[in-house]
Amino acid sequence: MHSNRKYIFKPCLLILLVASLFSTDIIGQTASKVRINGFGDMTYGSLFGNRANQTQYNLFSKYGESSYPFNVNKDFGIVGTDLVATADISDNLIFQTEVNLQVERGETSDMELDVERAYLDYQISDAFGIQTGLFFTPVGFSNRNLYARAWLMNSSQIREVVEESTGLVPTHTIGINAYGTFVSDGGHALNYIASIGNGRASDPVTIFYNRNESNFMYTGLLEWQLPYGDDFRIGLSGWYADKFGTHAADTLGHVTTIEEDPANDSLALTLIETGFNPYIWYKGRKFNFFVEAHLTTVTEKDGNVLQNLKNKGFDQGTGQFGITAEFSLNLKLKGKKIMPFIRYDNLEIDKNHAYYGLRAGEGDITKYYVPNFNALMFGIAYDIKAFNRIKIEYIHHLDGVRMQHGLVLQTAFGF
Amino acid sequence: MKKFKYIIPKICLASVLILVSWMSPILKPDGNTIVIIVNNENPIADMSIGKTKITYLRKIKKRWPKFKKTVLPVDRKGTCPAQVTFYTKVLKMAPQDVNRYFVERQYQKAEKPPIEFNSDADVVAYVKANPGAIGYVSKSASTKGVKIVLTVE
Repeated sequence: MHSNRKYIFKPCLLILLVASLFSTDIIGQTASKVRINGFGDMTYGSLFGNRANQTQYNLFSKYGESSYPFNVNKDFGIVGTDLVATADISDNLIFQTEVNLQVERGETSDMELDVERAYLDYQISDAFGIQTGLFFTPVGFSNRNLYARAWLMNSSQIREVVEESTGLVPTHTIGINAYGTFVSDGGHALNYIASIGNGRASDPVTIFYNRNESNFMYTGLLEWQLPYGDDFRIGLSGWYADKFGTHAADTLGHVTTIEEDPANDSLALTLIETGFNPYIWYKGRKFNFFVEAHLTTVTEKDGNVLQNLKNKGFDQGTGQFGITAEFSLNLKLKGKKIMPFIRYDNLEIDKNHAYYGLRAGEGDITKYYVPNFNALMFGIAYDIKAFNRIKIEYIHHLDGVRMQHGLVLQTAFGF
Repeated sequence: MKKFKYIIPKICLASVLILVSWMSPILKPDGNTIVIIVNNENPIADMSIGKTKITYLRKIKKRWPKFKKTVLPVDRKGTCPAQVTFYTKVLKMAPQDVNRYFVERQYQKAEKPPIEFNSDADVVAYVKANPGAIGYVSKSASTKGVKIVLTVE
């Protein structure tokens, strides 16, 4: 989680408190102006076995950002507990904010409090609405709808690619988006979202307050909603992060000092990032499936820094690819839903990537090793109550820096 | 005379029993048959079960076609025969799935959940007062001032 966001949780808490004062009741009452919802979880994980890939682990130990990989369920943790406040300003004007409380998904149990969303939504018609503020970047399905919402997921594992601590895709945007739906007579619908927001920063995890660069990021999503099953969507999204400046580091562990030093100017980079996310989401009576992939590349704009480094023998990766596939059954146990599931995640990033491993410090940029993620998960999710889902899950890491085996227990709730 | 003293009450009792049995279909609350109601201003004339489900859940659109008013679903507070019929035959969802659905929609779409009322009369009154509202009540309930668009048995 990027530290900049912590500075904005206080104003948002204040907004929540003030909104609550004006609220006459909670959910479901006619007089309510503010609705409070939320979700959360408690997770226990145990890891055992050898490292899935000892060579990668050795690299990670030496050049990793932290001594422990992000997004691992080990011991007790809170994957994501959020409070969502929705203010109905008028019939078609809504303000929604979401404050997140979680244990750092890295090596410590430190609690973090930050803002996931804070946006104003004005819907003129079904075909056209506008949102402005901080919102989930409209890329893919899981970033917008599942993210870390354990109560809505079968698996307790957050997709590595939408883990914001890695910055592999721009998970959040501050800016403006337009959205809408067109419906055909046969019940098919075409949904769209187009957004423009602050662009990429000198390192990929600085998503929220990047104003140092006058660059923007453009995002587009098209989603075909089919009238089959309970919810069936096929979508394609993509983004284009216009010219953003950073500095090259030739090898892992290299620290580049950013000062007005002619020697360092030779390492100044101007990059462009493009990404694509196709997905299929199906929720039916008897079974569900979900497949989402992403492919991103960065290219250097008007410069030869990366090429010069390559010529000197320094590998400079420029792409990443990831895929998630999950299949689950909808069964009943004592009249309640029980969902056996199986899921496969694979994420591959060039070891010496020119951008995704960079982290900005005070006047410098360091290149870290970002590990791959390759795992098979299976388990059972059981809805013991309408708003309480318990899970047991086994995770087998096929590659990467994690231990080969993991067992996770989770109780997740919503309200 | 003494015979009449016992015969008259028996005849009266029999008459009352016959009358009650004759009127029982009228007096019995008919929770199994429901009607779907909308506001009188809503131009929609009738709806199918599938259309009602999609509209009530705001699966695709938030607004009524050709009316441009936001769909405001209305539910009953607590389980009642009318709700059982509506969930089973129209939404085809278990109560816990309905609850989950509307909470999810609040996270994802910031949509208002259905407004809940204790009685058919309250549902009718709300639908009458709100142009975008859609609700369900027992067939036996008074629906004066609202439009019936579907009957579900």
